Amino acid sequence: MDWGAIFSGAGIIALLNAGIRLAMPTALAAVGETFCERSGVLNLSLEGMLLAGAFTSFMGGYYSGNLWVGVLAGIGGGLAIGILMALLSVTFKTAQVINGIVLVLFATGLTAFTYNSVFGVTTTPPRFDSMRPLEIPWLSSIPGVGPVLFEQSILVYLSVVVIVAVSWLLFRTRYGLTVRAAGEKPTAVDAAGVNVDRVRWVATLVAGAMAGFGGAVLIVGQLGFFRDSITAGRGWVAIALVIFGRWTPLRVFGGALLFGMTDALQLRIQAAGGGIQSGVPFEFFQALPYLVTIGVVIVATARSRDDAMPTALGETFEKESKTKAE
Amino acid sequence: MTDRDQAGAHDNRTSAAPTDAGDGAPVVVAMKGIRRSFGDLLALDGVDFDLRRGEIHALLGENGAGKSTLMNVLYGLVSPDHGTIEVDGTPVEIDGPHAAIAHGIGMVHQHFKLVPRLTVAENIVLGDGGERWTRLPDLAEVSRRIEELSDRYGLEVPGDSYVWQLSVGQQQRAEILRALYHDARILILDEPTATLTPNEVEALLERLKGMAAAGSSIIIITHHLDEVMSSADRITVLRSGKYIATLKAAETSQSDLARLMVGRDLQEAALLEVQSGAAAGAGQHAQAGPPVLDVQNLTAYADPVGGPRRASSDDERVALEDITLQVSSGEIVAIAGVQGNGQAELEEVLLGLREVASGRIVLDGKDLAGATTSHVLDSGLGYIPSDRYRYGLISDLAISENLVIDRVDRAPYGSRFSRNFAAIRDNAISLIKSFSIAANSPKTPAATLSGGNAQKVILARSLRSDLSLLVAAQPTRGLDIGAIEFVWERLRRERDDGLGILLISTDLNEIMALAERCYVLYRGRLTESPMDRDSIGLAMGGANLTASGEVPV
Repeated sequence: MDWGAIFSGAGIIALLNAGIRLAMPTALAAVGETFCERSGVLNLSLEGMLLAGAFTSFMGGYYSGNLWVGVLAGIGGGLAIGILMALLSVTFKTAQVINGIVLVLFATGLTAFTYNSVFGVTTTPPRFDSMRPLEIPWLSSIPGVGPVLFEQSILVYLSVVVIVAVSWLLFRTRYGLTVRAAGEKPTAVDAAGVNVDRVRWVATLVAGAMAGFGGAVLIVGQLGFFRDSITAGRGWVAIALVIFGRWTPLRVFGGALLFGMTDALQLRIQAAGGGIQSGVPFEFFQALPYLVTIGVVIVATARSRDDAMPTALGETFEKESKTKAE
Repeated sequence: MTDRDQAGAHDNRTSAAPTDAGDGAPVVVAMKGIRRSFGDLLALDGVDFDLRRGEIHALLGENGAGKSTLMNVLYGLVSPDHGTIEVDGTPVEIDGPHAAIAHGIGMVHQHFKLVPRLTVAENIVLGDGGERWTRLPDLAEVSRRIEELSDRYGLEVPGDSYVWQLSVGQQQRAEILRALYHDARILILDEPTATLTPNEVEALLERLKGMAAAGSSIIIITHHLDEVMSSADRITVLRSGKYIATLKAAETSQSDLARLMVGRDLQEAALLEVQSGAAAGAGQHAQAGPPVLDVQNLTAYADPVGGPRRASSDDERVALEDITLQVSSGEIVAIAGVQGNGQAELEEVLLGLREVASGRIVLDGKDLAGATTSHVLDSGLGYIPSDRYRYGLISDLAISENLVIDRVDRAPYGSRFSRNFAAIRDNAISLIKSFSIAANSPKTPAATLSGGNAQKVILARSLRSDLSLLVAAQPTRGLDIGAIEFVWERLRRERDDGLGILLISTDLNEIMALAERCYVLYRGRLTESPMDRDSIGLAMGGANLTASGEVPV
């Protein structure tokens, strides 16, 4: 196989460019999940949010012919799962882990069923042209850096803006402080006069909207078609990346980039014939990004000394004084 | 109001509506006819309360008297079913802590509402526009303002430290500072001294007096009589959710307050039948035999405050300090005291559930300090836990299974790998009969039992034939009179048969009805007290007894 084609100068630029692009759906979902978990809600429905966003963005883009309608529809799809998650976990205070898994199954089944009902089972799935890269004048002509960073689709730039903004919100605003406190000690937030459930609703919706946007980035920005379970576990990877990134958005983003790079690399190895000529099954290469993620999370978790997990993560909040006398 | 009549001699000092019987400082808070129930429990029954500017007003009462509930109403954490609240003479609706804060009311909770992983400054900002999407204020600037306030009121707290790094006393000062930072003129402190050392208590009370002198109005919820007498201007006593009296500290005494708090006349009348049984039992019982339990200089630590991420172990609090006590066979020895003074820790340390820091626990000549719980149980100690649903029963398991849960791996009920279901069932059938447990069948889950019947199951399991000591913690808490009588009668019978019983109870009536001797646990220290209500009541509030056991006046 031709390793030279992958690791030549042009090859590395293409690899890094693709890595960033491929990282974005996972990155958006993971950073949204970080925000949500910081508020104390363990949102395992992330894969469902991502998938729902992918599906609705495809439908929106396909029927309207406008990719931006697809993006908005994707955000709406993620939000819909977010509303269900918040309703079950925050309002009805049922077990968060179970709600999350149920909603993944729900989204998987519903998107597959709806898609097959509308388009039938076909070997040539309907598709549209995904969004073209936008070369930023001047910047894209910087050697090396330019083609990697500044020849991306506008969705990639938007994703980075959203991720940085969420990180800023979490650490630099009053609301962000409240979100962090709600995941650490909700009784303190309650005593400070803030409605804990409302904060957790908002945080869960943030996760839904961001994962839905991530699904749209996958479809509208990269693939242009939909099929069953097209998100291929990126939502689960994102949950692992939150742990790897120790609940800090920018570190989580870094983990997502690593995942994207590995994904881009395995695609190139396959394209270069590594799979067929070496006799290694192509499934191995497809599994590579996931294996790398698992490895990195294990190493990072084992090495870190203190536990960064929000103290009240996964615990439903009941106002204590409402239920007992003294 | 019959309760107020019970106050008897004090009626001349109490006014029916606590409004203008004093030095004429303006009333800043007036609560009138506050009523609140939780399910069947009437926590507050038409309570009146008023607070004047610049005073320290103590809210006194036993556990469950409704003190905290009343203050949670004022702070907006609990909504009243009936009643009105006025702040500065204007009727207000306080529908949440944010409204209370807006009216200048601050509250320092018994269990601190600070986020350990945030700094003091961040915690203080948290209560200020927490739902706004605006930039955080400059935390260095916040820290500076905190230090200004610290200096002014003598409440030293480092503003840029993380809360988990602070001692309990510092955390409390941080809570007070938070209220002051948000311009609280009215400060509520819920059991502020419960987790402090005696020196910290003294310092805190001094600071509070200074703040009151500077114009703040302060409410202290407490059951410690000595603190009330040394710091409060006025005292309002609650009992069982009812307003009892408001007194000036200068015109009352610790024993008056103890009497108002405990309200013995009322409770004695309600328990007359049980009480008469007590007298009969007390007269008959045999003399105490040889000692079965000998605890020498026992010390144990409390759980760390603020969870596991403490910086160091220097804030370890002593839950039980240098405790010495003896129980002989054929006697009931009571441990009296207000809840939270070390009872739970004593229970746990005797059972091997909590580490012994130093000292000896000798049961029948064997030292059990450091022994495992199963070893302790095998050594002849029976146990009625104070939290019967948490430690006493497994709700989803059948009565028959709960009855053998500590012996299910040995004959005749089974071995490590097998169960003898017939033996387990027969045991249940005979115990259900002899303890008259109201249950349809041995297979009934424990969760379906009433409180009295649940306690009978625990009693039946605990009273094995090979027992030499029974530790009975709050054995009748929350039970109805019939069940109380059953449990008391059973304990007396066991005592007469030669069992030594250590009764840990916060209920003075129970102690008077059952015990021959009494110790009082106060802030982790144990003192022996004469068997009369006034002495025990005073010692429970931390009043010093003279060497002769007489109550100082």
